[in-house]
Amino acid sequence: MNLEVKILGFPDIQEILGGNEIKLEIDGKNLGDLLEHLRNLYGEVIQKILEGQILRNGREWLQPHDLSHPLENGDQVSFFHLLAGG
Amino acid sequence: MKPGAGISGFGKVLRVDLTSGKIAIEDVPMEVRRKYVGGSAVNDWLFWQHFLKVDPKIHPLSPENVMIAGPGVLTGTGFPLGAKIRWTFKSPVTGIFGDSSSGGRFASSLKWAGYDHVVVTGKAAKPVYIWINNEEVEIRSAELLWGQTPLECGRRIRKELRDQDIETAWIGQAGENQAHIASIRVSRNRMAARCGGGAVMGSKNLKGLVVRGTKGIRIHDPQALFKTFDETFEIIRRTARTKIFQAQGVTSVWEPYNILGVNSFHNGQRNVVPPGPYELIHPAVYQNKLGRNPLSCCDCAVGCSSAYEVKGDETLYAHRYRGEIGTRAEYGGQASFGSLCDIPDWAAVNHLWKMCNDYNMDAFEAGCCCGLLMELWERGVIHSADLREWMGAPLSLDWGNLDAVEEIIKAIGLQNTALGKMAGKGVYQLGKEIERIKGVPALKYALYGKGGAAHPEDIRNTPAWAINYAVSTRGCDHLKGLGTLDKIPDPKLSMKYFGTPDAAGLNTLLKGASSAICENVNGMYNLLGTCTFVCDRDQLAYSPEFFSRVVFAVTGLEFSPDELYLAGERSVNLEKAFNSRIGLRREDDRLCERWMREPQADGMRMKAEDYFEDLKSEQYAWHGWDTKSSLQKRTKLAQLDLQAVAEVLAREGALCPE
Repeated sequence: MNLEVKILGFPDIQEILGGNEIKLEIDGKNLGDLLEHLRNLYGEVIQKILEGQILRNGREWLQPHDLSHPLENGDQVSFFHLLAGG
Repeated sequence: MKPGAGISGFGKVLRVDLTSGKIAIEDVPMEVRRKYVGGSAVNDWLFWQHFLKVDPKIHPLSPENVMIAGPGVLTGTGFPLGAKIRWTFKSPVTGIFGDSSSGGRFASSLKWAGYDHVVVTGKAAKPVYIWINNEEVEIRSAELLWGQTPLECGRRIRKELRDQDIETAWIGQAGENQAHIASIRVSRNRMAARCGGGAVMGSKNLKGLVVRGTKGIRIHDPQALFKTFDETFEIIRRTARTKIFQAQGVTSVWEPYNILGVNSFHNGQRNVVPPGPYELIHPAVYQNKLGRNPLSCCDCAVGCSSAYEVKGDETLYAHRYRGEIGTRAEYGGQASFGSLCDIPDWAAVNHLWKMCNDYNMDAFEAGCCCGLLMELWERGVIHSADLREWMGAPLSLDWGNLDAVEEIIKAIGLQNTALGKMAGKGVYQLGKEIERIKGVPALKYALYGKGGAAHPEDIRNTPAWAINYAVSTRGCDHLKGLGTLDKIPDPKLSMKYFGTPDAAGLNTLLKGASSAICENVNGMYNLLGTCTFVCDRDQLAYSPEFFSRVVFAVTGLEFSPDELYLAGERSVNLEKAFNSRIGLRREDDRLCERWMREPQADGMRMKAEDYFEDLKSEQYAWHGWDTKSSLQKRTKLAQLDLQAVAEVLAREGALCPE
């Protein structure tokens, strides 16, 4: 499954990634698989991104504990901090 | 110490009548403090009392209007989550209840001079300012200050009084000229911009307030208060988003908002900013190229603002502003000018923000006016001949025309052209007037909500926000109901308030209810005077128990968390009751046509009419208001111990019959 992952507002993680966007091909089908893949690539430090919000395809919030939440090929998954502000 | 009696200043009201020159100091009655605690909520009570003696239907720019300044309960105490002041008045932008808040050391100085509220009535014969030197209060001539920018006024007054610690709140030329969207500049660089308080001051010939406050505040239990400081520092330290918020402030929403599809582009024709402009106005560009040093409001341990300095080669337009130093535009400026008007250039956006602040006007309104004009130009509704007639000189309004936006802001500030006068009334009146002149639809492209107040953010796929923008007592606004479950999807909070985790999401479930709860919660935090943005992720996640302890440590008055919440709810209900008295009903809680009927061009492609009426009914029901008329009910007001309010409404046919 091919995924586009955006990690915004985590400067130290972005430094490790070399940017704020990565394209991944993972062997899996859900959020837990994606997180596991990221941990394998970057280590436990990646856990930090779970302190913010997770948005799938700009329209569905995912919860960090909902590891079985299905993902589909071509999904965009964004991790970021958002304040309720304007 | 007996609360409210001594040098603490808690509960003191300074009344200044500019018509008679009468000055008086009085106490806020203890039963009022028990009900409303202080700050913005007591402002609301003072406002309500004023309009029991004065016809609530007066023109907002008549001498009968009132201007009330009220620092929050925790303002001036050193409590490290900001120190806000609220300005309360009838709004000339919307014609309904109006208020606006700002940071700035002025708020604390007012408390240190011994006052929790200043109530200004009447109209001076000539320009004046109010000089508050602890107990000594005078109305002084401002004739030599009239026409000067707030910064220049501050410089002159500090020099004249030989005191660099004096704090000020001034209006600029937009306020003097009574542009309805004029703001108040508080201390050196904080703005109370919404609802047109600057125009109300201008209509009273009131250039500003100048304060020397040296008495300080007596804290009931300093050790307990210091302990809450430590707890707050710990919250700030452990909150994950503190770092990015300190680096980028509210502009940090730029990236997530584009993914969510709530950044308005080309006057809201699109809700995702395309690559190119998106990258150019990205907050990182500001950080890397223009940011000079971080800035913080008074008594804020977070510090989300930033000072910039333009060297001249950082961006396309930087050469125009070589040497300019100022404060970075917040998201509202970034969105209003950067994306609504398609001027994706940080040097330009900051300069336009600075222009709005120097003339003193609401940048949301000014930006939405410019965005509307550009769309009308693109659609061929207005032409060069119109602009020549309205501005006295040729002007083209192509997207991204920086010169045009500068000219329009200047015209609003000086009120010296027909277009400046039209736009000075805000985007709703501007759209209406162009529609009248041209005889073709124009208002349908304006971005506004209740009362015609402008907002540069797309809210169609965030239903709780959409309802806030329609129902908020001060008209279209995000700050009266901030903290929603659609943008900050916390299932635990959803569970806590609604018994289900499912309201936390980009859906319509319980978003009317969420909006109602958030209005009351914000009413509670606003009265404290803490900053809306700095706490842990979401308003609903604040701990009322914690703030109950803080208020006790400061005042010695015990308020349970429920009593604090009730004070917030009372303040919402007083503001609502005022609006009901002047005739507002369900149909007035509305959104502009673009948000209601036009599906978003990008992302979720939502439009508000698909959920609007149902969620509005839900919102009213959670407030205990009538779902048919939106009017308040006697039983609900009695629960809030607001029977006297119910009587007034009943007499005037503004109470729901039960």
